[in-house]
Amino acid sequence: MQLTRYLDFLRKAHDNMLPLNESQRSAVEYDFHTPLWIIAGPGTGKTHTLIWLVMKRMLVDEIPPDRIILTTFTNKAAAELESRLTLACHALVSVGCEEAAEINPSQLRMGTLHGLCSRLLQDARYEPTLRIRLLEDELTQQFFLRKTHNPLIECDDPAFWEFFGVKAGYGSGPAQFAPNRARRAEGAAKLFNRLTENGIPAERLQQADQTYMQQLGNGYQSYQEHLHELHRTDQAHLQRHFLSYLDSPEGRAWVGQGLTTVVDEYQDTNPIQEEIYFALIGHHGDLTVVGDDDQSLYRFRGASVESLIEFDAACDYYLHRKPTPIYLAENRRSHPAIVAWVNRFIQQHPDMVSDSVRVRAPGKPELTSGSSIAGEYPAVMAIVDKQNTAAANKMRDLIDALMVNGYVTNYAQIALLTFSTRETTRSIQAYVKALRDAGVPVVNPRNHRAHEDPRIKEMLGALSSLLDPQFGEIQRERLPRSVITYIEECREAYQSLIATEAYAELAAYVTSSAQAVANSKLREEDKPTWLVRHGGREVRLSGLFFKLLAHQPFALAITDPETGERLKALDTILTDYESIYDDGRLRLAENPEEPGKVRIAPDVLYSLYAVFFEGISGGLNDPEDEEVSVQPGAINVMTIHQAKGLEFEVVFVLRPDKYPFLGDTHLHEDLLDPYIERPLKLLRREGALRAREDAIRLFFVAYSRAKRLLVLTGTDVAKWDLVLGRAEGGSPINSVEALKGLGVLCL
Amino acid sequence: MTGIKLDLPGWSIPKTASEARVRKYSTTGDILAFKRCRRQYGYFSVRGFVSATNTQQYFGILVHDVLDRINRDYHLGSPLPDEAGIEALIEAAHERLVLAGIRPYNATTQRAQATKLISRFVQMVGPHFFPHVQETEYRLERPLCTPQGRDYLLTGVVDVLSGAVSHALRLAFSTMPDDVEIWDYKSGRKPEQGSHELLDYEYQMRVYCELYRQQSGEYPARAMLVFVGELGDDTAWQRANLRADEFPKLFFPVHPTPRHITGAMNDFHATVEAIESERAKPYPQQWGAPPPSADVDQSTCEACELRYNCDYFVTKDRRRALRELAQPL
Repeated sequence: MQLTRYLDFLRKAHDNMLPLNESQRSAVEYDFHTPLWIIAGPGTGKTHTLIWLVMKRMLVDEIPPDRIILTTFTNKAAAELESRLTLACHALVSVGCEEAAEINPSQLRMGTLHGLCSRLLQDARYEPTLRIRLLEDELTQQFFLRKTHNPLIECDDPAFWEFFGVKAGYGSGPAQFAPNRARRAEGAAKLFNRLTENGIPAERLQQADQTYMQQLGNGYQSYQEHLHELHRTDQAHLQRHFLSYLDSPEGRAWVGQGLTTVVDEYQDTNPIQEEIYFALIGHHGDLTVVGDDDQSLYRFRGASVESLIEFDAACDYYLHRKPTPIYLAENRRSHPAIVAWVNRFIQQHPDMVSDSVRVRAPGKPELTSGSSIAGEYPAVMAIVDKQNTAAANKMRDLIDALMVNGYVTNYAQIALLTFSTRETTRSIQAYVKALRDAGVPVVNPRNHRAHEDPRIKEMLGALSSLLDPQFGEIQRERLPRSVITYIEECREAYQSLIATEAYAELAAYVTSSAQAVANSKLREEDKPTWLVRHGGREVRLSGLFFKLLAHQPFALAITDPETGERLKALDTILTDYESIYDDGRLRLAENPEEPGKVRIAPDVLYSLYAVFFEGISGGLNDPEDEEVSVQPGAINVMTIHQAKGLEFEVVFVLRPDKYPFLGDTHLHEDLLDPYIERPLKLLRREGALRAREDAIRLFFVAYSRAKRLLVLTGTDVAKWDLVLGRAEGGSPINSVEALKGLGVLCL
Repeated sequence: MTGIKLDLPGWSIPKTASEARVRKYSTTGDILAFKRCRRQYGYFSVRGFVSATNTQQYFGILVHDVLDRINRDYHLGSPLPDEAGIEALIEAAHERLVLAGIRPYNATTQRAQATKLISRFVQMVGPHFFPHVQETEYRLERPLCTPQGRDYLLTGVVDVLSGAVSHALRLAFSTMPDDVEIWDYKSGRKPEQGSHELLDYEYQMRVYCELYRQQSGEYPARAMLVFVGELGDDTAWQRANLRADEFPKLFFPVHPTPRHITGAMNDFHATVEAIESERAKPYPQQWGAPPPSADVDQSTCEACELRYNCDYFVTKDRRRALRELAQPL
């Protein structure tokens, strides 16, 4: 199909108006003689452009769908792209484009890069990854490190952990104690992931002069050996496997001259992903990257914003060609005053300028305002008070006024965005409480509070009572105090529940099961004896969970929207735990306190408490609907990270005095940098400045989510300095007067 | 509330936005699973509870993995394996499954049975079958629309896309040398004629035929259900004397007749609508137990971790359900 014909159909499908502005059209019409580098500011129609660009690649450039790779950052975004491509296809067919009926966008290789790697390796039956078991997330990875007794988990040298920024607790000064095992596992998993993503081999660290680096190398080697031995992989290693596949004869044959590759959210790409993309495009070099460096949020997960900022250098290195930059700058989302606010914030921020390295993509223009939203009202407001409770009450009143006056028609049009959504006094407790007390519906799934739900505690208490009726000293002595306290609370919750006698069947089941454990027979042979039920079937932890769930009050609780979802979250974590710990089977041992009787082996109980219960007690989030970005009918409280890609009529940015600071992420980048054998050096500023960049990008995302009204809300405006930027002329904004000077209405 | 007087001149009232969504449905993971039991499907596939019962998958995956491996090796130039070779392949596949957490109940017996079935398959069918295999794990995916106007994506994975295997095997129906066939292995025996299970398999194959047509332009000659479990019948094995066309119930062809395909597609569309209407219900009312009149297979209930708090299961045999629930562990 000719390009003009394609554009004609596009017009027909949109009331005879081409639904693309000039720069969007340039992107769609691009001829791909060199890679395309789309830098798209917030609200500039990035996904819209991507859809019509991909349709053009199939219809005009006649690239078979299965030779197109289209990746994005989350499963949710991938599902949305797939949906929109299907609808785009329908739209063209409906205006007589017969060619669109012939193509099948669902045959595109589309998804997150992790998901695609997994699927493509499976399709290729790549021997090293056949039926390989994935450690799906960081928690499972931590379970694995603990189960395999990684040397780092055994390392109780406080100086080692301090060197890598893993702290035993809050506070400054030299560490006196090593962090507990849970924190060590968290720190080790993070470090190992960075090593894998940056392609740093264990041997390189083992040969380092620095003792701690050698120790890290030993730990990493042990981790990799265990992954291999147990046929496991993590997300980063899965991508390494994929790179190896691409380098195999089968992989090279599949790539051929190269695949057409389109990468969304490129600002959150990490080094291994960059390698994969350049391997996929082969010599052909048909690569489109789309992103916004100002919205890069995932450094803490290994993302390197430099991949986008220095994309021209990467193209030069891999392809000996320069990419063509196209800037999408027309913001159609927000009120002009909000666009002006975000422009001023990012353009004039002294921390986003450097003479030595690129902090932002080169040549980036200001956003222009193209929204139909207008009005003389002040679209940027601030609520500042001395106390959070007072500020929270004002926020509640403003929300009430917005609803009462019909400015918004649904609570879901309002979002509260913040760095941390924990409902503590250090964070946003006062704000959520003010709304809940006023009967305003609020959802805050990432509040780390689900583990305090009484039914969750009762369930865990029942499980503990069944497997470990005594919860004796032998279990307690090695457990952290906080975990012991949580277990005790759970057991007490269960005892209180059955004391009501309303749940006699549950109590009888737990008691008889505990007796069945005690009366089990140990096998004579030198093999572990697993707990079995009548008939010889092995008992699994999750089997016990479901049996408990069949009893009241849990049977009813799973039909409750809140508790039901929390019980589901518990089941998911239990399954993750099982996948690492003997598939949930329970090993038995003699009970020295009761001769002739049997109990669950102490080390099995220890792991259950120290790993599974500890994982829950540290804070359990409510599960989130994988399909729905915004919960209907309620004010959505979200981390700013969660809000990426979304938009709301009204955005309250809570607690601007709280933002990310210099942490282990930046430290790891600096410590590992000398060991990276990368053709292109990542050009970065010092850690403290990178931490400031991160905070600025985070708040840039927060501000740019607002369509009609942006309200900064909190206390202590002097501490908002970093996330407010500078006024015209470079003066700081650290007072209510300074805010007013910018035209902000202060309530 | 203290109240704030708000005057926002020029503010336009926003409309409530709705997210456009085209859901993806898997033929087996969604449509057939919902038809088997809406409650089990809802809790485990939609809400995300994870079942601890995966021993029932073991045998099917083992048979599937080994047949897939034999095919790959054959196309890389290896001869078809003898019984010892098959045993080694089964051992390797078993080790992988155990590491993957798919543990068998009574593994030794299951491995021996798998060796027997696959050896017989390779001996009797292999020389005609493997040379014709064109693709394995062939993905089908098409955007569809229900009569009510709901867009959805239907996906399926065909075990094998082959050339004219039926022709090579001289099976007793009209075949041509340039046929394209869909082959789907089932590790068990052929279900009773007229059973829900067999009917669902037929629907699945017909829908695959239609998806294949939409994807490639033409219907396959047929879809062939291969009930590998039938090969365990020693008497039938002796009688057939290596003639596949003489082996009863091993093959079940599904022919892509337009009328039947329309029926199957309509059934799938209706299932999609039924799933969507369940999703639209308030949380406490979603994914309720099937009505007592429903014909849920016993093995489906046995494998369900939530059977004891399911009215369907409890009503069917209340005494047994209560007894099992009260049993320790």
